[in-house]
Amino acid sequence: MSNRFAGLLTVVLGVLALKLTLSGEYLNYVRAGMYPWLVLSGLILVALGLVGWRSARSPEAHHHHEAGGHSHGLSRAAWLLVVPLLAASLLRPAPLGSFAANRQSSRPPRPPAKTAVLAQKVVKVKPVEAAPAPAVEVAGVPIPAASSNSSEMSLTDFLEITYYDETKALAGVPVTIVGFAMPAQTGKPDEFLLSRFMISCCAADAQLLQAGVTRATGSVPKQDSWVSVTGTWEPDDSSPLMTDDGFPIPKLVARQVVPVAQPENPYLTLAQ
Amino acid sequence: MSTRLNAEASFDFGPAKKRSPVPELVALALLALVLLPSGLRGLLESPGIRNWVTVFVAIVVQAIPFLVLGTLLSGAIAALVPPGWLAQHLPKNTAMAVPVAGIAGVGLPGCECGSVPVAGRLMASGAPPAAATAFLLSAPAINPVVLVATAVAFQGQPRYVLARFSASLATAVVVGLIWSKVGKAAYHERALKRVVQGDSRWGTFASTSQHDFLHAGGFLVLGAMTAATLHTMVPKSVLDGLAGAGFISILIIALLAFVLAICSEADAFVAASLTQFSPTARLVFMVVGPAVDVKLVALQTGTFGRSFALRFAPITFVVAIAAGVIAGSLLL
Repeated sequence: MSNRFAGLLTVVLGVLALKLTLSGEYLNYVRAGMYPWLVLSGLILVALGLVGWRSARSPEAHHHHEAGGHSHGLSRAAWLLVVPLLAASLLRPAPLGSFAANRQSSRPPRPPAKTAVLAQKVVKVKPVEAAPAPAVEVAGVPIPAASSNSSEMSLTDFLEITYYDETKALAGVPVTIVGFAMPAQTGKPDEFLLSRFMISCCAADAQLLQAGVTRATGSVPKQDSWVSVTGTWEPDDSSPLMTDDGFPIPKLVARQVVPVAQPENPYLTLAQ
Repeated sequence: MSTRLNAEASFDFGPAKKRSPVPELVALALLALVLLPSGLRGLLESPGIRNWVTVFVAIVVQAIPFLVLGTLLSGAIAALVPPGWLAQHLPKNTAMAVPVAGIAGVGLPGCECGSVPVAGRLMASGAPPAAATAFLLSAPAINPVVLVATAVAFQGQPRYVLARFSASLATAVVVGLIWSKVGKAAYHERALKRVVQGDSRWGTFASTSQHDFLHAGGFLVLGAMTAATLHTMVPKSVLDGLAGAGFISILIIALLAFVLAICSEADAFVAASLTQFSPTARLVFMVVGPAVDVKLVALQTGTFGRSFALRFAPITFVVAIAAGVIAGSLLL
């Protein structure tokens, strides 16, 4: 690879880093916290590449080259950098989905460090002890305000509470959780798995989180489609779903399953 | 400071420069695209390919900042450290230089992608190879960022942090000492011939950084492709079925660390989730991963040469497992 082209390739790679970050596409690959570092790296690469390209074009460099000075071809391996460039640009970015989920087992999340943290989470999702919301009636028919008085929570929080809160305070409290759908292996037509990946650094270290959804009215959502499920947790489940490792998967009895757009950040991140 | 010009600096091609095969390869690839049967087009959209692309791009993207940091440091060493200075100032005695270099690894916050170009540059600047390799192994494993991540992943179990620190430092020092006996100059040919060019300090810094970035980056891509392929192909039964079978499970988890090539800042979280393995097995996962994995072997081949990687990787693998097992049985 000539030095001139090496400089230009460095510039293009820097632009790729900037484009992935500024467009938000990077969230399909790495954790959100990488944002400033990727922007900084992109700027540095553009600057380094421009410097390299300019010095390779200068008549002096040409002279050196002709004189047999330091005509160092860059190794051919550098050409491989074209591959991620094409892969990230030609294909629409897609987060990990059911294909990756089928290659690992979901496991219970690790217990939160302090019980206080867990208690706080439980309190946050418990409904406010205020007067019940006035029932909305349309032409004499009460409309269940399913999502209006439910608490939105992450799949991580839901699993932590269902696994580790011994007071079972969440039982019967309506909650709304977003994830992508996967078929449950039970074969029951009204059950599916609400799934999401949690990452620490990048998609290569993703860990699967799953909750079961039962009594989904209407048709079960398509595999890999994103849904928002409102429902209540049933702690005493007579026919629990199980992971391959034999852990029970907590189940939501659905009141409402709504298709939603893929979240801007498809992965959950461990709060550090 | 004088800038060094290495007259015989072509490190990939012989004196009779081969004609580049690139135009023909590009034309072939384009031809294949044009003739692609329509049935195969859907292949690009298949879940397996998408999964491969996501994991592959993810590994490359997350490595970029660390690679940039590592190559900037490498450029700075090339520009600021006069040749011979390192050899003069490091302890003459290998038995001293190696542990010092190992502990110096605490100072490079990053993951393994950054430490390879730095170690290569240290060697090119005259550091004894054994000391440079000890630094290469310790930097990604015992720096503060990785230790904090380990503490977060194993909350309430600081013994894991201590065990990881001691096992990784021991791996670095022991491999460094072994390397001082078995490592021949010929194995590092590629690192020693590395080009330093530029007519000023600034020029040297900029061109070395850019050069090292592209060079290491190319090999990183090779490693990321391998890791993404294994992520996509290895069935989960391999992971789940073989856990808990004594030494076999330790070997399995070490191989897993080798093929998955997870960044050293994230591997503690994965290790913490591998609850079906014993504490010692999980420690081995964290000690082997930053020391030797598919991505690192590719990077080391690019930086030091193939004869280096072929010898260095197996030694590291064995020592890392041993250090993990010993530290695990003493501390966990």
